[in-house]
Amino acid sequence: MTMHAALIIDSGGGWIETFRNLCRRILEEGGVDALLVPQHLPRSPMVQYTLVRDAERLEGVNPVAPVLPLNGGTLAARLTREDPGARVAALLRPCEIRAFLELVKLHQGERQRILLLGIDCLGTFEPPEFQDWVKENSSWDGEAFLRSMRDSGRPPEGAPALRSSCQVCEHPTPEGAADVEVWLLGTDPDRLLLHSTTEEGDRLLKGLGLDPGEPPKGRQKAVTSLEEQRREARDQLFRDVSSRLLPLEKILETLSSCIHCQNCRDVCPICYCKSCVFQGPSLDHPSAQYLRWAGRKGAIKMPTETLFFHLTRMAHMSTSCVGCGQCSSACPMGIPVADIFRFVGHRTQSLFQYVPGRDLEEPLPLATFREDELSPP
Amino acid sequence: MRRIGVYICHCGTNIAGKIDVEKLAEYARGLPYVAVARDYRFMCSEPGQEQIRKDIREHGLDRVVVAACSPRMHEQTFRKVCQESGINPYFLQIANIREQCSWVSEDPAGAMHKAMDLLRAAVERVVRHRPLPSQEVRVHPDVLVVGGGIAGIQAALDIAEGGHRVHLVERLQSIGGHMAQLDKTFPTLDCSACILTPKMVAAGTHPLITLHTYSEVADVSGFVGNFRVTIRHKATYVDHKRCTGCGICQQKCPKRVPSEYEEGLGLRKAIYTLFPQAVPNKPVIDRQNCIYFTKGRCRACEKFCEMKAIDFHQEDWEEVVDVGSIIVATGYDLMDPSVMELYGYGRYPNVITPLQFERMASAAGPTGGRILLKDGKEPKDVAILHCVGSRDKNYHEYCSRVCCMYALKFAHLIRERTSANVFHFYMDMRCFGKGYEEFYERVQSEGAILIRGKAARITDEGLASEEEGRLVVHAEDTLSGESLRVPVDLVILATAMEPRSDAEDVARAFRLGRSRDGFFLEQHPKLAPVSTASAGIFLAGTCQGPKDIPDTVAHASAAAAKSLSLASRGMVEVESMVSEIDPELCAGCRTCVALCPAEAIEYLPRLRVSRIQAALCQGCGACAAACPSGAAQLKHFTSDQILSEIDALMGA
Amino acid sequence: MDAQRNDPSPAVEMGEGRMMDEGELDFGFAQEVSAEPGGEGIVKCFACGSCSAGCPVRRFHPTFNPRRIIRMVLLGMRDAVLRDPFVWLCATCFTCQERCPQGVRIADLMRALKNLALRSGNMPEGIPMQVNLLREKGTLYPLDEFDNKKRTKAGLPPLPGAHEDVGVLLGDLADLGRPKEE
Repeated sequence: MTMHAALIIDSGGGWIETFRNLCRRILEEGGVDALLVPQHLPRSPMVQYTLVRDAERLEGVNPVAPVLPLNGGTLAARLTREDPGARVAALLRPCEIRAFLELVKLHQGERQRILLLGIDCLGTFEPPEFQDWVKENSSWDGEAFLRSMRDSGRPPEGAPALRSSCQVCEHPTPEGAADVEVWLLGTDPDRLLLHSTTEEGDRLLKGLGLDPGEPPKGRQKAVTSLEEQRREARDQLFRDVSSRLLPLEKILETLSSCIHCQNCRDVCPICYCKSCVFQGPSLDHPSAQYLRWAGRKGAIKMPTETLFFHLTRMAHMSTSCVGCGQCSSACPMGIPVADIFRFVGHRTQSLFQYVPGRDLEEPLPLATFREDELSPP
Repeated sequence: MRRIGVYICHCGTNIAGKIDVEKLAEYARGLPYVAVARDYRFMCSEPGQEQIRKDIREHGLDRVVVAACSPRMHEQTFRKVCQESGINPYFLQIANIREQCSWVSEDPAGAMHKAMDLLRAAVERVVRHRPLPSQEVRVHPDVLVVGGGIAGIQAALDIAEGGHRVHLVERLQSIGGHMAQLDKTFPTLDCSACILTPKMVAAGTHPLITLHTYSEVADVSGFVGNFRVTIRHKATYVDHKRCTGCGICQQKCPKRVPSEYEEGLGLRKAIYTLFPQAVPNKPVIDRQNCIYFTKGRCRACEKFCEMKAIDFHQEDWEEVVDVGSIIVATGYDLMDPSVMELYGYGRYPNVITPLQFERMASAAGPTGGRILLKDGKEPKDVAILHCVGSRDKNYHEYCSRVCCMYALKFAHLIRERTSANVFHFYMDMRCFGKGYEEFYERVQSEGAILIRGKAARITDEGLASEEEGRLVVHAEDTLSGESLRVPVDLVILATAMEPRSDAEDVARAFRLGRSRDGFFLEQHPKLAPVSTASAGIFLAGTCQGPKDIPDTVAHASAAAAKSLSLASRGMVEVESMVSEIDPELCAGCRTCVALCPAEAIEYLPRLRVSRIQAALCQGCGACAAACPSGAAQLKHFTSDQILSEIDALMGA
Repeated sequence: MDAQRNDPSPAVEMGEGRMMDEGELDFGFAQEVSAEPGGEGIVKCFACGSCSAGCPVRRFHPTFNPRRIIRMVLLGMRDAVLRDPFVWLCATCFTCQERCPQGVRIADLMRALKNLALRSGNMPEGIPMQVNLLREKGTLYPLDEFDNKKRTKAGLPPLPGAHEDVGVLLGDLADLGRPKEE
């Protein structure tokens, strides 16, 4: 049930061009009716998700552009919540796949209704920084980023830094959660490497007429080394956060600049509620109540529920947080929301030995009951 | 505009002794919406209730706050008062200023402060109460009784006599339980079999009792009035419809194994009935010991069975029954005394358990009723050790309640059948029942030797040649202060009754609580001794705590009365405080569906939302706690009600 | 039946069968003992006698009866308990404590009673002698020449006969061993 195939990169086009051709073939020969894939939109430096049914509309496809306009897990869920009536495939990064699997557990999407192509993620920039960088480098096509990351593990000279969440992400590969994996780490520069891990994936590769091949030798080492590096960075971040956040009063300081835009919640792939409890009737207090509070304390911040909002969101989603960092990117006040949530999420997830998005068979910790949970091993 | 009446109970001096109730009423008058506030000696008394009714009428109250004892005590009382006066019963809030305030506080000023906080929170909460309708569901007329000992048999017979069908589930192949093993019963010395077997036969032949022997309850779902029970019938390898119980198979079976019924003192075959008067009197094949099942040949039973009833291919099968209530009568285990090294059980063959003695004393038992040592000789001296594993913090702290009496009965039986001296080693003689003290006196006059002291240990170290091969009991007779060593031939350990080894699984299956001693927990130790925290599930007999036969039978009849009253009314009021899901907010994640212990939530795929079936909901609130969007809310415990209560508690 | 006769003669204070006047009893004594470390569980005793029945000291010293001591404490026989040397007989073997069905820490209780006795100035003569030995030699069993000769023969290094510094650890307790200045 695993198969390996390599496409030779034609000397003219490079990796990205070879991948666009692959997408074309997937739509034309792979039995796939629609493909969700990131593309440069016409006349825009930005890369956005597109849902493509016409194989001629793939000219801007760029899966290695280091930007995550939103967590595509949400899109995959949206496309599979009901039967889409056609065979859909999506190219997603590992954090997006993991978010999607969490949403599947929350019945917001259906895994069987989509063919997942998972790509190794080398990291992403903050979207505005990415956009500015592309604007300033008119010849930019992504190949240079790919090369630089593979060769040195760092973005090319003059490029922005990776987002904090990407720097500490210890899941840079799809880890078997997709049907077909697109490998970038530890591979030959002149090969585009595909690796299927499910029967569906095998069928796609065979349908495209690709022959089984040998996996690249350096793969395991490259992945392990990157994961190791990321884990170290993650632990460093946790130390920073804990010195910034603890004791608990400090969290108030950090959150004191929150302007209640609730962007963090809007972009969070795990926040799946139709309407947030903070917009519902239970926290809609009578006018007199505010005056009473102000009377009791002398003065209160308005609106009142800054800390409560973040803590509630944390309580609701921290066990499922995949660390995609969208919340930080969306915060107009530069609050390191994602750092805080990863820090807390790591602890709540460890408490239940739970890794979000790892396996559909693992139940959500807060939706199940085990007799041995929360007890020392 | 709400109009609230606040009523502060003195509860005699229970509350008023610590809290200035008049000042508290004065404080209440200053709270928002409060139209009237009063204090009274006993709010729960008829004049107290009447005052509330009068105020509702005259002051046009639409909400009531009672500051008194726990709502567990009188919430229903005051809800009824509201209802009688024409306002919804849920327009009431109790502020518990007794259990949670005056009783637990030593500082009157602090208690007063806390009472004010609790009262203020109750007032803030009650204004947000919404009316809830009362709802009733039908009660399935049938009853499940789990356990076929004397408790289960008695309960089943009482219910069947009342005209309702009973499913009686028994783990073993015959009903009868421990009582079927006993010889005589104290204090009247009736033969146990003589009084039990008629009841067994009555249960076995009653048209309204369905016996499910050699069976276990595999699953219980549903709630009061409507339980669905899965019964697993273990394979007997004998077609009981064909079998006539002629017994030829047992005669011909070549395999002998120690008999559990005879407590290891006798042998049984691999195909066997428990005892001659078993109900049903049909054998089962013990797969672990059957030669055919272990070695693949033999089938002697099959060859000789004229009815062709042997069926080696039988498999376990399951059956689902619907019942309205359940009586748990799963009984007790006798403690295994081998853990008490100092008494040498298991090491000295002539140290035996009380059930082993019962079998030995029984005319139908392995010795034909003769009291004998392992070597077949009659004992000259017998020791009975009381409180073995009972009243002992190292084992069971509780008193097992029956040991004193059966120990005295043993003394009588030994004196009646042998010329042996009988030494009792006891700490206190507890003879509390009807005719028990008289029996104690009788046994004393029959020559039993009573030594008030706990036996410290039993050894086989004889000091003189005539002590060789005997057992020596070491104890102090605390009344004379003498330290004794008493050589005897036979020692009977009066071991503790303890919860059955599978009590935890049974508790989980039937959603029962357990008390500290491990027995199943009754709803109230005095006023609801057969009810449990799960509505419609009742306890009978020793699964609730050690009992003798009279108490067990009384307890079982009480449980039967509970089941009958549910069945005869045919309807039961179910919780109005149920959950509700707002379809506008529900994202259809179904987290609540998985968490609901009542299986009361269904998912509607077309609307992509979940919905609560109010009749099944038990109001536990698991769904409301888990729902992130607040779509699921437990009525009467909605977020705004709880938050306003907390908020009022936090500050004036 | 074989009973070991108790010799009641040395224990007049134990009040065998004697009429006692209420004035002789100190009803706060049980509380006082309960407050001592080790004495906490004493009120739980239901006098089953399994402590006495298993006591090895009692075999040789029939006046020693832990059950009776507990009863005497509970009854308030303060003077009898603290003055009589019998609490000092306990060998601290813990047999009683392990067997007690009520979880009374009897061996610990004996230590508590010794402490109380000591505070009220009651102790057997041997105790100051032992303290003296400890103060002077640092050990209850001081080595002498003979021991060291044997050690040398066996190829072992000699040991000091006394550890004077141990006496320092005794602190004020060391005074117990000094002859009383009267």
